[in-house]
Amino acid sequence: MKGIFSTDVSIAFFLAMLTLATCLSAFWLSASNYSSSYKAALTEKTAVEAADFVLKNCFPEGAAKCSDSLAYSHVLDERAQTASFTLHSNRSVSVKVVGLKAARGNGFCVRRPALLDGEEVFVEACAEELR
Amino acid sequence: MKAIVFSVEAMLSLTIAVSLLGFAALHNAQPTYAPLYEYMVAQDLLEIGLKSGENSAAIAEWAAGSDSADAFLERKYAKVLAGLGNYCLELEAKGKRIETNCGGRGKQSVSATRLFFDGKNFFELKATVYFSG
Repeated sequence: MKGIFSTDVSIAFFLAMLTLATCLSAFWLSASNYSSSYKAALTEKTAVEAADFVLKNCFPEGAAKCSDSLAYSHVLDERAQTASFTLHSNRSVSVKVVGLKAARGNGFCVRRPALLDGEEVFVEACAEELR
Repeated sequence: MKAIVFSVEAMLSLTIAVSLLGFAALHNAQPTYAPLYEYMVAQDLLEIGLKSGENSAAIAEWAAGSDSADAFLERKYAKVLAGLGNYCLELEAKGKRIETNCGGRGKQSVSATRLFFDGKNFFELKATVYFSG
């Protein structure tokens, strides 16, 4: 009975508990890190895909200039400058055509250079996680 | 004696666990779409060069050796890069090279190429975008 409370055994028990706690925290830390970075990557993917879709699809679904259903990628329809594009996603995503000096929108934003009336502009897509 | 052995074992396990925890905390393996996006940007920069009459004429002149076209393209691309972020662009054709916004060049890069027709001949136009990871 005395052995159970001896210093050596107590230290061993304490160290074993500490090891267990450290392992559990390592697991928890890795899991939460992975979870948050995965969510951020999905938001990033939504923005990248949305900008690409709008850049390469005919107006009004996208912003590209088209003639006879042929889309001229990177050449935007004049009407796209003032239009807003609705894209279905489980994240909030907004896409618009902005000038070279326009400020960035909210959330994670990507910009793709394109031409509007021969001038350089950006197709900007911003995605945010819905709360 | 047994207890001492257990203590040594537990201490060893603790050391390994702490190393694992440190590794997990420091190892920042975040999945990212950034390289894909940068590759798209490199393609876009070539496209806006080719599809604008003014830009493509400047590219043809620059490839033929015009200094004014060189300055024009540098200005043009600097304006576009200013709105994109901290990117450095290297444009190459026929052994000539333009570097734009390459003061603090990032270590990672992506390249894209297009076949360019200047009215007489075809040549390869290559854009390399440098960025920090």
